[in-house]
Amino acid sequence: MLSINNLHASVAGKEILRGLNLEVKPGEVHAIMGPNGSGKSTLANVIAGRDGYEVTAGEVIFNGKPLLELAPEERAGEGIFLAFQYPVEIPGVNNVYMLKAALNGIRKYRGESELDAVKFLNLVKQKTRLVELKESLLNRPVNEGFSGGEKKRNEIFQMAVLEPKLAVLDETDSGLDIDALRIVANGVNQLRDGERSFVVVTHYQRLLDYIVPDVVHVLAGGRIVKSGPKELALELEQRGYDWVVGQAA
Amino acid sequence: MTAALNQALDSLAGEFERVAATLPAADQRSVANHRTAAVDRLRARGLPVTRDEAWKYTDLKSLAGNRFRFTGPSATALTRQQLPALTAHPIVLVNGWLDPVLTDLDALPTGVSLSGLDQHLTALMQSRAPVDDAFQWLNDAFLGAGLHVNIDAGIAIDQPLEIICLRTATDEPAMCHPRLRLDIGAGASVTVLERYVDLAGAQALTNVVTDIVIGQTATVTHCRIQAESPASYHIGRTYVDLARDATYQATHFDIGAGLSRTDINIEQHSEGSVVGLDGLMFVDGKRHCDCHLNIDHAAPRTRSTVRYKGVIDDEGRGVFNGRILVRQDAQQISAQLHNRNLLLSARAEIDTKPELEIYADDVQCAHGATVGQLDETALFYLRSRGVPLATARALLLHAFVGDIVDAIADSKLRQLALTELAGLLAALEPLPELT
Repeated sequence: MLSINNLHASVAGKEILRGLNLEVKPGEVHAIMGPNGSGKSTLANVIAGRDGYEVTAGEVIFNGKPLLELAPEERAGEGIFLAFQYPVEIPGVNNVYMLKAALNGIRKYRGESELDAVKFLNLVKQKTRLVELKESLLNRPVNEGFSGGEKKRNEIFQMAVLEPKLAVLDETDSGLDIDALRIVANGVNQLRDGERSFVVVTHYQRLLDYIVPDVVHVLAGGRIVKSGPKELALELEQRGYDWVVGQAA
Repeated sequence: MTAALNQALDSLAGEFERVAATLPAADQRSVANHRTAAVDRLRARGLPVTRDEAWKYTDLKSLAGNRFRFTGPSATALTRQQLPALTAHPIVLVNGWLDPVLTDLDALPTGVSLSGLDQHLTALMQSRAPVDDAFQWLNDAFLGAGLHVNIDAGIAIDQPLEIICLRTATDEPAMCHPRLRLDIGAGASVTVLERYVDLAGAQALTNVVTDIVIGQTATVTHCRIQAESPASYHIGRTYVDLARDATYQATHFDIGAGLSRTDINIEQHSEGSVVGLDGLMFVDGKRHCDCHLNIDHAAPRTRSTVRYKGVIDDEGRGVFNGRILVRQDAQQISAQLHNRNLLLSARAEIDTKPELEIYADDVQCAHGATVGQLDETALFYLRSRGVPLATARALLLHAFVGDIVDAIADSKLRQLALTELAGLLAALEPLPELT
């Protein structure tokens, strides 16, 4: 599904990713862990197509298509979703309105007809239950005045409505208390259907107690230096990253 | 004055000489003298140049290439059904003149009287202290077109009073100099919609003076929409005079004309009056839009709140100058003035200058101006969700102007404003609230 080969990317002239390889198959959950500054968020943003990240070498193939040539909204149309580490507050833009524009943008990209207002609102109501999102938040401006937990729930809620093929969660656990973490993870788990894939970027093993990965990768110095089964996360929690990074050097 | 402006002035004054004898009440000596005196002042002082502080950013030299013809009242082939009217019984000016066919004089609400300017010329000539303003003089020179509206004391009118200033196609570049005079009686309340609609799309000059005199405790809600074609020049003066405890709540949209210059002059000369002024300019292509605002707090316990926004695209240029004067005796007043601008292209330009001049000591005043671009992070967030770039920009623009539009209390007026802004905001279909 997702195939990243020898990816090099720079931010403001500084090379962050240095030959990253990653293979994600349908239905798989991959966790990306690693020390601060190793390039985890850069990877997430490059996949989603954010400006300011310059890819200097390598390729990202998604379901057979070269992803790097596509605009962010086209990537969304192909089925990519990025849950932001810091969801953006957009005063004056209604949450549901934004989501309707997004869903219909994606449907149009795929040559499907737009959803009418009634069908759309039914879909929205159904999905709010998934992450226990208060309906009162729906008609508020996007993320404005939301608590940290509400913002992250809103991300997962949007993901549930947009039903991506591949979701990249960029430190979705940061800033969450244990209850919110459980709700968010529960939402993600309900969206696991054997087809949808996830790349979960996280600092801590804790999230992986709830979202159990198929593969755990350690990203260090812009490369994946170690991959292993879910138990690797526990080992990293106990021993830190130094031993892996040392092994790879 | 430059050669180009001299030429423009000669053309305007020459047109006055040509038509002076045909203007209403031209045989009345006092009226004729008033007009001639205005032209003489205009000739003596000349058209404003960019060395004049108030015209620093607005250069009128392109006026020189045009020879604008002044047209008298004439019948139009338009029918009421063809009017782009919001209400059932609009008051219609055609090329500056009150049109007695398109305007249904019998349908005016009780307490409202309307007439052409003819019967009011003498009163209008003495209505205001002389100002140093070339376009006011030009308007005085051609005094005669326009209308006079009187609202009786204590009358409350639910429906908006719609005034459409319509320009129709003419063979040559045309100009009009209408005067709109509204007298609002004590305790009355009314919503006035003042629209500039251009069916011609040709070279033209509109030079309008709107006088709104608001009686004690009366409330005027005023929506002014200038949406003339990019080929036209629009010069507008709005004078608002507030008596004790009167309220002026206004929304000004400056979204049309190739060159537009509006001056809004508000006099709060009596205690307790309240002004809430919202404004929005939208300037694209190579258009130019200049808004000068003057609020004079001359009496205690007066309040004013101004929110004026600018959206400038392409090679458009916007100018905003907001001046608030607080005189020595105007204690316990509050004045807020904020100007926010969004530049959508690298070649767009805005020159903004809020000015506070305060001579009283017990006052609450704040002012500020900002210039920014669309938030790149927000744009990426929306696009990453699948919102196409054009829609994402429209959503953010909609958000930027949203509070100005949403503050319009009358839902029909609000919808009209959205329709007028549709090109700017792209088509956004409304979504019902979740229940």
